[in-house]
Amino acid sequence: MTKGKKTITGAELLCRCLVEQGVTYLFGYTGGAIMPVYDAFPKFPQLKHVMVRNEQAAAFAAQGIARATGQVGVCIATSGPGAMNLLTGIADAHMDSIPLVAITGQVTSDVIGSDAFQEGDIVGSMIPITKQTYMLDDPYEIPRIVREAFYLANNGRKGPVNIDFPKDIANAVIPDEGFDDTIRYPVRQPVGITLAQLQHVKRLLASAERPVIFVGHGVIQGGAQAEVLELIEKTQIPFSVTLHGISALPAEHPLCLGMMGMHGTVEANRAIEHADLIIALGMRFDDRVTGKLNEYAKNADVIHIESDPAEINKNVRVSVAINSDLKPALVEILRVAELKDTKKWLATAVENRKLWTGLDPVNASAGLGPNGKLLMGYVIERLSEVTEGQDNVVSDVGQHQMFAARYYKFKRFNTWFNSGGAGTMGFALPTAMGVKIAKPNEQVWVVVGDGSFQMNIQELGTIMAQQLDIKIVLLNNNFLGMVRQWQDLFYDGRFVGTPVKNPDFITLASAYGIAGERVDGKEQLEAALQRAKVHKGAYLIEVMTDIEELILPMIPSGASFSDMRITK
Amino acid sequence: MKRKKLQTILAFAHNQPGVLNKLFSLIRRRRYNIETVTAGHTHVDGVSRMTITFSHEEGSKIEQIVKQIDKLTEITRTEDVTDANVINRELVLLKVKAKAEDRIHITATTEMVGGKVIYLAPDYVILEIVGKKPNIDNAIAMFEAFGILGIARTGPTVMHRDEEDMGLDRVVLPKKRDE
Repeated sequence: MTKGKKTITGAELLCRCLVEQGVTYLFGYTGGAIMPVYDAFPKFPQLKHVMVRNEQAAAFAAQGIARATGQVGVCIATSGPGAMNLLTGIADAHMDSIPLVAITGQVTSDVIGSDAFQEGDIVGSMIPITKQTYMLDDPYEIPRIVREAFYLANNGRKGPVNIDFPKDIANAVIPDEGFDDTIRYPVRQPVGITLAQLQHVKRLLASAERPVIFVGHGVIQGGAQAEVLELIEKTQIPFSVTLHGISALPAEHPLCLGMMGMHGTVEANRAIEHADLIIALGMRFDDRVTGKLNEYAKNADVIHIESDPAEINKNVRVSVAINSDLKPALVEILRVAELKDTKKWLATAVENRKLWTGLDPVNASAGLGPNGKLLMGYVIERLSEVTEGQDNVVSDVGQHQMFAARYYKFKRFNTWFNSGGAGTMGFALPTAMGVKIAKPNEQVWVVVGDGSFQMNIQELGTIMAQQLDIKIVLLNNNFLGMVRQWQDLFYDGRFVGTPVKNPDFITLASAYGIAGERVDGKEQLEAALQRAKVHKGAYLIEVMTDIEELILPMIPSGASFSDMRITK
Repeated sequence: MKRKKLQTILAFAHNQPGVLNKLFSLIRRRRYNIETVTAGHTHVDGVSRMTITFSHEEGSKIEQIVKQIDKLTEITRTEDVTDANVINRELVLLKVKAKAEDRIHITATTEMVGGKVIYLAPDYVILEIVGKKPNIDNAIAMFEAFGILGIARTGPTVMHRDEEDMGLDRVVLPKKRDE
């Protein structure tokens, strides 16, 4: 059958299709079932494989590429446990709408379903946490499925796609011709803004006295920052950002109220509580944003512009439901939007900001906590100053994440990376590897706690091997700080399962050839940050922080905005 | 306890492995209970029709789950047809005890409910009845006095009286490969 014809193996065909999709970096870990694919890599020098130390990190590093560039990130693992280790990183990407293609090896077709060695039901495991999963059991389908996987990952609502690839298909030798790569599932386009909706928006804009614009992740993913900024400046309506909307627009813009929600700023949350109009752009009213739903923004009309129809009217009932990409809808709205007199409304926000500035321990107690140790908020504020708000910040999950979100004054577009929806500890170190590889000429800082650092600490090995110049700011209070805060506030101070007995992090880093220093006082901090900044190569600053620090304000889980706690 | 409500969803999908798995996974995640599912081919090659009924507490957001089903890659069109202008039919096979002296009554009852006797054994019969769910419920009740030995219900399948939108704009079928 194959006589006289040019042939190709399934593994080579897969690699060639990846090259055609523009893939450069793959993060992964080899193993029995995926070996044929690895064996083909040298024939495709464009493909650069980065070996991680645990597959979970491969999914996060691929996310780093995707988050930093908007391109599809690629991770690869072997069957069974290798693929299973990917799941957390894939689920995280699904929650945050990050485009990934995860290639997993699978046992040979003839033994699938027989509990073969290192077999796992990966398609079954991936279905609830991906946009699409494929069992690639026909080598002729490789070109279509690879093309379709990349198309689906990065079109419509973005997200992860899994291709499960049995070993015998990778080894199959087939004639190199006659492939059909037609995409079978065209992504449905949003309907766009209608004339009636535009008129409704115009009326609401004209009559609103206390309007707020919400800037969500969609503004970054849709590249609509210029249109959003124009709307804000043309109308003089203040804006608040979601956790993932951070770095869409400059944090120090005079109309910026800062982050909204559970750990949002006083001025943002008070403005939302009293708003009579909310214009929500590319966001999904997550429970950390809304608190108690039936009391949320009770007096406000909500205009929601969102490309995913399933997110509209999901949590918050809206007055104008616009299923559209942001840019085209905003271009229309800009035609009807007019300058508003928001001076009085803005003055209220300024009052609230002053109120908080006076109470903020970072100012009120000169950056030191009740035990005389440094405050995380203060450390981030110094980091923001030393880097002039210009650098990339990859944060992990916990108190330090909220401090980084609130105190780093992002000046540049899409420079803030963190796990929002899933809240996965262990996110920062591996994701930063992807961000650094995607932006080799930019500075990348990891902000991480002592708990989350150790969730993927093995990736110091990858950082060492790849010589990645990543600066790590470890905020160490020898505690799982965020849970400790909840225990402090809502569990009568019973600190169960939260104290951490930590290793000597500086010695540990040095075992990986990573330079570092410990900071235990205000006077050392700035110099240490400066040293990290100019150091060639990775650098660890371990800052000893105050155990009793709380991230405030806080709207307790499930409470309403009027219950916001500004002080303990 | 809130009252349970039955909802009927009509969906068209690419006939691909895993579609039902995805659909069930989604409905399970929303904590609705699937009551019945029927699935089969349509007149369009490669496109299947599914009718799903599930129960939920009154006041749940059905609109939301319809939108989520509609987002599944292989689904071409989803619609809540609970109150739509559709034909809704279910088939039941009923195994009923039938002593010689009861046969005539069973046959008469079967005729009255619009069913058919399709199998005859010395001491029982098997009937088939087609109808809407309440009619079938009612018909089954009619045979309880004779003694019911088995029930096999398919669950409803629905079809629009008017033209049907199968979401064919979302269907691209690949060329068949010559072997």
